[in-house]
Amino acid sequence: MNIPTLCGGLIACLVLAGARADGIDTCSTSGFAIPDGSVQGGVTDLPVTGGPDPLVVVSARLELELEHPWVGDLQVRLIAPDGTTVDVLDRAGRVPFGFPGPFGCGGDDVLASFEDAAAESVNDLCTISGTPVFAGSMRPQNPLAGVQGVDPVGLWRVRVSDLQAGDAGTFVSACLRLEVATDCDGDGLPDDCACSADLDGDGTVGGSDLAALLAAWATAGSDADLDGDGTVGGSDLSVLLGFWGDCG
Amino acid sequence: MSILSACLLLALASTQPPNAVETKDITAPPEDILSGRVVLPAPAASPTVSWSALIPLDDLRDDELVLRPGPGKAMVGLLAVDADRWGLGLVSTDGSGRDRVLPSEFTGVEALLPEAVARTVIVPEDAVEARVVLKRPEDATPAWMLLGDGQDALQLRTWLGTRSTLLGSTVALHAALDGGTLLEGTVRLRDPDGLVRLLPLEAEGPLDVARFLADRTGDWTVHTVVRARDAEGVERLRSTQQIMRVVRPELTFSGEASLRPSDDGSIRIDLPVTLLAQGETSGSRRVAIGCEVWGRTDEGLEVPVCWVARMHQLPAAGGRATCDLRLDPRWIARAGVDPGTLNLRELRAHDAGGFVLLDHEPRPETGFDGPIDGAGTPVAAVTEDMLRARSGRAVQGLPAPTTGLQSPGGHVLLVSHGYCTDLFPWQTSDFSGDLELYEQYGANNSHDTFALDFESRGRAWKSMGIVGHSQGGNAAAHLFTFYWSALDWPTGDRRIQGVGVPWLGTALAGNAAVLGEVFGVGCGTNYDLTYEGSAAWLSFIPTWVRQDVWYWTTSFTDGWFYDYCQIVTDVLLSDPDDGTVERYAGQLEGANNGGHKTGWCHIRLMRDPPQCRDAARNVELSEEAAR
Repeated sequence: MNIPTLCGGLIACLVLAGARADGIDTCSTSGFAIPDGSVQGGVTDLPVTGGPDPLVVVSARLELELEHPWVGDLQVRLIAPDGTTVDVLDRAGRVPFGFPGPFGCGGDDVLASFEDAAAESVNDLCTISGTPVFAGSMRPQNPLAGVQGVDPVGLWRVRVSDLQAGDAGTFVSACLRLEVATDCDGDGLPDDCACSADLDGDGTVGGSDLAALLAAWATAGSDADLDGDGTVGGSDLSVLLGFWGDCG
Repeated sequence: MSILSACLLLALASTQPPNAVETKDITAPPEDILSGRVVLPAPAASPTVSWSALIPLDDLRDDELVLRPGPGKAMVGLLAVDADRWGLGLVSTDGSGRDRVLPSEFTGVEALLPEAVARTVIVPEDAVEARVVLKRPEDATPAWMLLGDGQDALQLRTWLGTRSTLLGSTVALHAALDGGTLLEGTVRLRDPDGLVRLLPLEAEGPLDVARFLADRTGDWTVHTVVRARDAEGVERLRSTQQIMRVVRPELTFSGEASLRPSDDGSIRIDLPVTLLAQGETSGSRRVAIGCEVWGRTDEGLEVPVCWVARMHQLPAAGGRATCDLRLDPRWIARAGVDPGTLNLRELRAHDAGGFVLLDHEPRPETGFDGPIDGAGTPVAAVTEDMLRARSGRAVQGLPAPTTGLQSPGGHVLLVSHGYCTDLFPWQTSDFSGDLELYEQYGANNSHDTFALDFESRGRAWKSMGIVGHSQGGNAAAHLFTFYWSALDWPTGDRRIQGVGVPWLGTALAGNAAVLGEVFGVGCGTNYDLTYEGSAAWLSFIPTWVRQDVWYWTTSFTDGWFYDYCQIVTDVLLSDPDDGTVERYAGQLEGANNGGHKTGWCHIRLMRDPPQCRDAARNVELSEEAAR
């Protein structure tokens, strides 16, 4: 099978490296000043362009570079195209007493990769002297698993808010790495689009499957709606022909 | 760090006292052990020294009211609540036998006792003899005489033989005389209940000693008066005035210390202790515990690894318990010792309010509970988190103030007064930027309580630097040493700046206590400000704290004759002084000395302007402050 590469937006690439699970990297390096003391904050766009198959997010990782003299001011939200939101950073280290303190971690800058599999949580990594204070790999405030099952295609956003006036900073860059899989039946769970074209379930995509598709032509809600657009038509025929042969 | 932090935060959440303050796991490098910086000095190393005599008037013989002035500053003072009704003068005789009558001046002694006033008269330089002439009102209140005879070379040194002044212990008061011969001496003890005991000083080898039973808890006053003969054969009086704090043994080490690996990768030092219940003691239930860690190298050399310490909040219940300290294994790697040879030394526990030594084990038995894997990779450099780490433990702090705060959440300079203040000393117009003024008038706090009050103020701010006058400087250093607070977060050059800070204590703490028996205690006794209390406290202040401290001292303008900041306190302190703090006692070894200026005194109502009104320095304090 060919490996399609589709790019669009700022620096957004879809790389389908295999039949089921693949990676998408979408980055923004359009720096901006983070509005100080503003819930609204600043937003950067991370567009993801679709391919022939419907996709779902399996996992996500967000790499962030922020310059800020008091990172405990910051809230960073990842917003999926469907509106699903995950708080990646939320005034990290804020405790009612002790260390770091009621105003969160007072260290400088973020150069970190937020991923659920990391050993340490961002809330436990504050130190007095390290710069950037959040560096390397760490778990986000809330799990990025929150975007699992989301259709990755569309406009992702990273909203960076500075919730405590007095110290101002800059957004430098963000890179979102999405592990995705095909979801040809549109149920939000990964499946195998090739075999979804095996309409009669005999293990190959062949003449009988073509016949079944033609029988369902122009109908809605059919299994033969392989691209998930609601009706059986020419694009479904293209998908089926693209997978012609052994399904295994 | 993260796994550790998560566990510790959990511990904090489950045991959180009201207004909790997180303690630091403090570590000092072995260099601090070898330099003696975190070593408790012997009591004789921090004596109270006097070249004058302060004595109840009624205890003086007539011939003792005749001074034969030495080459130094000589004066006579009378302290009484009603000193304005007394007559005091001097008949001064010069070398040609000519007499001069000198009247006294009336003066306040705010630096010593707000309630007392004094009459003072300076002995002329040409006097060979000066006879005190007194006119006592009929219904006179008790009065004390202060005799400064100008023979500075004759000095009385006194010290308590132990820093562990526990209830039921026998305490020895040691006295030694420099520049002469001690003829006889008496120690006048007044216990916290007001019971007075007189004890003779008895010769024991080169020293004179008086022993007594510490049978009451609280602050005792120890007034030692000696009759001495100077090198020229002239008999003179000398006295020292001290405080002795007697406490119950709230915590006693009671078993073998054990080292064991902790889940977070550090090494936990468990210390079995026996506690008195809260009802059996008074005070904060906070105890500072510290010890040295030693180990042996492959070459068989026994070397210090580091010194570890922490403030502990004791539970209310008495009985057996375990306190613990934490050792970062990177120190073992740095020292290059075999982890299996680790042993503890100089394990000690001090009451947080006054730093009275509660227990001391020079060489505690040390065992191992599990393998200690501390060798690790040698560290390239000592990092901040090796010196001050999260303990995950809390002490009970003070409630944050609810009023008077400006712009919460910013970066502030906390500007503080010192002990027992009735007026804010700083000229605030000299400062710029966000300021928080610490104003607790008439307060008498230990360094620990003072520091916790700073912490509570800091909760409204992201970060703070502190400019402290007098004890405010001690309290800032105490906060930075023992507790996590906004003082850990400022950026800028100078975290802590202090002017006129009695780092080594002041004789006035003892003098005020002794005179307080008669004139009222004012704000009360403050053991932390004594020479003894300061020495014990300083032994918990590592170099990394001191390096973040900038300090300045001042003294009076020194002219050609008799100069002083405050004529009464001048005789109770050694020159040069600012009327409260001697120049030498205002030095903090290992810190940044901003310099000494003459022409400025400790507080207002002294001869030169108050040191906190020095606009040039104040602007510098403001501009250079970390916030």
